Amino acid sequence: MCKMSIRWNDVNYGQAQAKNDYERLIVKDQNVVPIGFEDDPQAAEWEALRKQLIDARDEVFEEHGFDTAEKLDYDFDVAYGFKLHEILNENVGFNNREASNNDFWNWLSVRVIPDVVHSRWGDNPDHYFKISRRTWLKVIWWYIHICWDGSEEATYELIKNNTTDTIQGLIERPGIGYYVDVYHEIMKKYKDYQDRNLFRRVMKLNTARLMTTSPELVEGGIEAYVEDLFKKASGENK
Amino acid sequence: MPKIDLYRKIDEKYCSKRNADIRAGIPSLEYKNELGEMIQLPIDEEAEEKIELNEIEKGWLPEEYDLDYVQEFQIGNPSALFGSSAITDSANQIGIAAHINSREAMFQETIPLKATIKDTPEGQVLTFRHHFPKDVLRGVIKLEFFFYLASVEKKHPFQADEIGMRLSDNIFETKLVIDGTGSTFPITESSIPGGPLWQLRKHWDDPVVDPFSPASVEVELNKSHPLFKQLSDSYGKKAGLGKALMNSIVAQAMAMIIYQTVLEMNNMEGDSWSFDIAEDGSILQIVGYWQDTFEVDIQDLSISSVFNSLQQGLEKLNRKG
Repeated sequence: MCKMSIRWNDVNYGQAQAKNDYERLIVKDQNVVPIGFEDDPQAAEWEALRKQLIDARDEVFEEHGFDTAEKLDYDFDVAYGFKLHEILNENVGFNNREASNNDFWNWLSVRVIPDVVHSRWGDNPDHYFKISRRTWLKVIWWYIHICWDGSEEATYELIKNNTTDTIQGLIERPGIGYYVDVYHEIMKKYKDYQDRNLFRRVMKLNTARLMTTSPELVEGGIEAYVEDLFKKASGENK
Repeated sequence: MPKIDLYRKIDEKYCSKRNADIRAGIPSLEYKNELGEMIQLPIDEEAEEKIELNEIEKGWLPEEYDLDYVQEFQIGNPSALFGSSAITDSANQIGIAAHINSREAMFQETIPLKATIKDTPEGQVLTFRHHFPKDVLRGVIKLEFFFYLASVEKKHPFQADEIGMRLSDNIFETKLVIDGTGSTFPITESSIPGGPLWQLRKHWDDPVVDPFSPASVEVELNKSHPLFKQLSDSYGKKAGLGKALMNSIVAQAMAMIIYQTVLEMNNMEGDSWSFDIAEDGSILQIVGYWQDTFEVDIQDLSISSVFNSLQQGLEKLNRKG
């Protein structure tokens, strides 16, 4: 894959603009037709990025047989999340500053690959731009980013048994900012449990504890902090 | 509601010269430019609690340069913090940590300073150094420093007894403003044939942190409505029917946002919350500003009391203006 140079800071694409363009998208035979980039000075770069992301979608569809799936779900989130993470991070110098820019995610969802978002969420604007914490491409990028365990294989082992509920519980409440190391440790630990209710209780307990406790400062650090969260949330005594 | 601590904490009393003599130095910020030269950013003592990097150093760009933050903390007489009737036993150690977070850059972490404070009459200087790599910072970054219990050998009643327990409120806090943050009333436009002229759409999850922007709440104007043109023609005008209609829509939307926010805060926190807990740029912060500016009645919470008091406040302001 070729490397590209995109001027991320030039992406100025607020909700009002995303909404206008979203209304211009046309659905044809259950597919969305993108409106193109002719009005943008980085049109060539966006076209190249689109090509990579569409090729990646086709690969993922073929590998996992999603063509025959009735509805795309968690497996697609994970498979496409890995591709998105890889393409953005490795090929176009993407970093946290860009990943926290809602304008960029609005642009990617409405202008670059609306057809891919459409295949997952139909015409629900909440997942394109309307509710930033639910913007699907942003959500799956952050999910992979937080769960990243050194390699795609290791990360997949960590998250393969999860569901869309897990993504929602982990990503849709960024609050005052993701506690990335703590969240990562929670995911590592959760791998041994796989109980949706327990996961919810752990996340709730974590939110309450962070008001008074800094995980890095407790004896044993983040690992011990998370261990204790699971013990308390599952009703085990120390 | 007053807070009751279950163990002794380092408060104002300990900061005084006669006591532990605790002082926070002025933050120092620097970066290496493209020529490899270290550039020191000028920090004004008056503005140390809100450092607008985007204003004071145009040459530093968050996507191109790293940023080094250094700050010293002096403890003139550490001994005053130790002993069975003070903060912790002489055998234990106290640390300082920085909680760093940014809602816009979507991260938070706590970093302990390397050195710790031991029981000694000799003054100690602890230095916090943090390197922010390029292309990570966005929006506003908050840094809050506090004391914590770093080691426990011996315990006494009314003293913190577990490693990591917080021993003070923030002893210093500052904000690094990376990108400008302006907020305008979140008005958006849609086309809904046969629909009402406007609707309020609520998307926020937590008013304490969620930003006052269309991502959280929007007044959605309907471009297909016959009265829409009057509204859009009134933009930028000082008077007229369209302007009056727009003002009325904004006032109703404000009343609904205030009512809903206060209701949610009361449901979540009972009567123990205040507007002080609001994050910068959050819905709660804006609601606090409106409540204060327009003297909105939120005590006996009802939509009519909120709306009527807001209308009166707006009217007063209009007459003054």
